[in-house]
Amino acid sequence: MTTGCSKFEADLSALLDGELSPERAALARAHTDSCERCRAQLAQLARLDALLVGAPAPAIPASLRARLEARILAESASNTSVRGSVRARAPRLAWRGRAAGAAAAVAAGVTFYLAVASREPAPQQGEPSPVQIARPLGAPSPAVPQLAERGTATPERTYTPPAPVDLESVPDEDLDLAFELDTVEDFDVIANLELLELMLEAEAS
Amino acid sequence: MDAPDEDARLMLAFCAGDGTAFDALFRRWAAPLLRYLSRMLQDAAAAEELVQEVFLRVQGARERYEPQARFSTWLYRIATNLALNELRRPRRRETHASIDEPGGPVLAADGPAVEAALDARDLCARVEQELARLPERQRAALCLTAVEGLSYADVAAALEISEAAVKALVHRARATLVEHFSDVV
Repeated sequence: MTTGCSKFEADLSALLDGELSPERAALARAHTDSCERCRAQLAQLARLDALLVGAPAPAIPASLRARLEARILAESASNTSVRGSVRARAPRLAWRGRAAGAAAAVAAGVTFYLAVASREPAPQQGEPSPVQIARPLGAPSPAVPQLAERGTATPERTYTPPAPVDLESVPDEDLDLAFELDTVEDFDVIANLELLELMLEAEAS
Repeated sequence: MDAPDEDARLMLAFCAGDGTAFDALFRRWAAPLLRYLSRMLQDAAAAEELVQEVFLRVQGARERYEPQARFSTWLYRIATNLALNELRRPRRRETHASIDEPGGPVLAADGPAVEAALDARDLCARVEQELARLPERQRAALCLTAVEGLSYADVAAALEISEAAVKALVHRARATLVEHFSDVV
């Protein structure tokens, strides 16, 4: 190897990839034309690439597309249920204590609400669907006008706990967004603050 | 990007609600991605999982996709990030078998043809072994450049490094492999 060879050593690989500027490529070619060792090295690199490209690629399994389809459907279903869930995320979250406090506040409100509502007449036929504490993020607010009409109508008193969600199946983007918002744990709590306020108002009146 | 490439066009069609465009993207890219990820992970089953994961990301991006870079660069960037994350997982699976395919050529004859096939298979196995020994970024840069045909600029975008760094990684990877394969190259 001559002194000039070391200057071109790294360029040989880039020359093979067609990544040198025209000027530098011309210099490298001129060098390999005159240097047997570098010419042999360039040929060796080319044979190595042929070896890499020539190795058989793994076959696409027939089931891969179907498995992908199943995962897309599962993710879609999971996204729907995760938006309605408070509990499932709790173990992973740093603000778990705060969220638990907020959730407890809502739970207390619910208990209180149930106590208030239990003194009221039974719902009439044709009343709106039951008020649910957990609702999907982004869904319209649940109907709660009955609270302002004490003594005339009462929503059915049901609480449906959110279904547990496998956090591993939640897309990273959703988690990232939720973490950025810093509200992931409190989606449902926040969504039901309005309900809580209405309960408290109902009690005050 | 003035004239989106064919893949970007398909992706935009998928974003507009054309489900067949997603199928077309899968047909075009599943095999190259599986080849790349198999080499990165040296684990066929894990590579298949990550191919699915890449397409899940593609599927999930349909509402915000903008063809700013080449589609293939974007795709390999997703694949590379997933592969590097997988390689850094503390308890990575040790299995090296595909879920569906046993792998390797099936030999149904004997004689010189079999010997040649065995030699070829041994050589392929050696290639994979030596690739696996390379540092992961060298391996990624070399595979993306020499096998998948990406430009240094695209590899730089996929690996989130400079083009000069790509040049150095590819050079080092080739130099190492040439040393190991001096008997055959």
